[in-house]
Amino acid sequence: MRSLLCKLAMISVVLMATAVSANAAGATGPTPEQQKRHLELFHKGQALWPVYCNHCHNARNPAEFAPYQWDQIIMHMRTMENLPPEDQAAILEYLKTAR
Amino acid sequence: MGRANHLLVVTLVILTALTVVPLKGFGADDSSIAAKGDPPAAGGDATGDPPPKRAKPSTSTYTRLLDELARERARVDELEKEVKAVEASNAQLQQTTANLQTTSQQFTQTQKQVTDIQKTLYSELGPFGFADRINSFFGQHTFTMVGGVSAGYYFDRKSAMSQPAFDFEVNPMIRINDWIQFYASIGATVEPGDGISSLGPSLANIEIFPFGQGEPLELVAGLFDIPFGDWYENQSPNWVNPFITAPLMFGAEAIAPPSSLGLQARGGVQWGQTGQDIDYTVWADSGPTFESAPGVSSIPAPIVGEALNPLTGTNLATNGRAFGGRFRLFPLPIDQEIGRLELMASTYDGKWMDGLWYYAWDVGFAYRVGPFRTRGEWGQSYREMPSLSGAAAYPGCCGHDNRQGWYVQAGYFLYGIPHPDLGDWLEPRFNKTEFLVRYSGVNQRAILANDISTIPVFGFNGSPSVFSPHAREVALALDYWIGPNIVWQNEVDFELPSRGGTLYNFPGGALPATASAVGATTNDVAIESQLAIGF
Repeated sequence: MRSLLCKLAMISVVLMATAVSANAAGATGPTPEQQKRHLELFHKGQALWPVYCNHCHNARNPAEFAPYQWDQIIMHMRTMENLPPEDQAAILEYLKTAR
Repeated sequence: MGRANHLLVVTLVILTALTVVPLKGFGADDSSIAAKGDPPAAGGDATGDPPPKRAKPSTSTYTRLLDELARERARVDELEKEVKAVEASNAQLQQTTANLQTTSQQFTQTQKQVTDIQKTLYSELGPFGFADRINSFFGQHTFTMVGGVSAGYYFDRKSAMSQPAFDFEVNPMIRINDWIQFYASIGATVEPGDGISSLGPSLANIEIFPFGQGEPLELVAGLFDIPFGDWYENQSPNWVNPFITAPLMFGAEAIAPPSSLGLQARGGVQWGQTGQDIDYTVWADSGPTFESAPGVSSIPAPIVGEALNPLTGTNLATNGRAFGGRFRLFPLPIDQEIGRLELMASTYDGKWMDGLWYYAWDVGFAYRVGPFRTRGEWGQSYREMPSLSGAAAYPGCCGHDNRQGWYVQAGYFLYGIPHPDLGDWLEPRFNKTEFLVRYSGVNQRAILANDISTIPVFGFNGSPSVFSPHAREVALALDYWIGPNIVWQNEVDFELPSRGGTLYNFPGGALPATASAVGATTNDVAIESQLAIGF
């Protein structure tokens, strides 16, 4: 009987911990799939950033601008350089994360 | 009564028997677990039978019972251990849960702080607190100011002039939401003697993503740098252009206007591996204008060789329109690390001055790998001239105005050159130094005396002798890149014009024009130095 109670307590604690962590991740943080997607974009942007930007000028330091400023600048630079949408997203992810 | 007594006795006997028999059964069952040395049950039973002889447990049974007892004790010990382990695990899980709850609370608190900081950034950052003012008009938006500033000095041998120059350009960007943004460029050039030679918006347009940023279609509406070739749109900012001056075909003797008022549609797609892109830009605008346009010049009538106006269509009624297109191919995938190559072709065609034809086309390339970069373009334009008669007729009024222009340039960062260690002070400076060379030229039928300047203009021309029908220029530059967007540039321009062509003039600024042949022109040398900062 005591063993059964212990097992039930353990299971309930595990379920509660899982629920707490799932709630925290689902409500305010990225899911593992999103994290994986962000990581892929980051690495792609890391490779594209110096190549694409150096086509016209030296690549700027990601820390030079705030994330909301990169949102604006990448809109303008995409227009100027006709970046493919997926490459724009990758470069933006890199710039905002690397800073 | 006797019968009743008899029945009572019988009943008592039966009850006694029923009571004694179960007791006997229990006694037999309990015998199997009686301990060794217990005395045998004494006396008989209620039935009067002799007490059964209890069977003495065998040795094997006794051993088996001891084994079972040992196993049970071992099992009890094992269960106690499991209980202790479960209790420990339970305590650990409770601690983990508490930590998770604490982390979750901290995360929520951090997120709130980030939100507060973002609100602070959105509301307080931005030059001169301008964002707050714009917020009150446009609602939620973001505002960023970028641009460039430069200060320099030049010397021209032919005119024996040396002067400082200062230029600045600010580019406000107002992002209304994730699919629309306003962009502008306001610039000024300041020179001693001339004061502020220009101040005003050179660009003002709206960048629109009608289907969001996930689709390869953007619209640009307003006043924009025309995407004819790569120069005006991408290379002209003073901190982007590795030279202080512009190639002739995009500077002193342009073959296409630098800006226009109209609507663009543009986008790019990846056709192969990452980096293998193709892009398009098509646009319609109000058409090119030349300096003879009414209201902007003292030139009384159109003439071969006159310059294009820099701000097309903003204050001139051209009654024309033009269409352009530029297509670029990037064939190299970046994974192979063999550089970025661009192949480009563009065209700009339309009407000027009430229906006269104007055509222009251009091809170019750009390539960069490691410390080496190069680019070049070749283009030409054709302009139909009006047929004037009577008092307006003059030499050069009629026929065609053809121009061809080209440039090729290359640069190399010195870090690519094998060299010994130069020490802590010199090594980084050596690595940030770039040597560049550019050759450019323009051929056209004539040049207009009114257009000839006697001083260099930063971002435009090197020295006045480029104003010849067959201009040639070699520019050598040594750039020291203090930062990715901060450069100290030093340039020497050798002007080597060819003889030939016609020089037109309007004496007194009135008709008729005079024409004279252009002979040998003095080769000039100009030296410029400039510190340019992009921000």
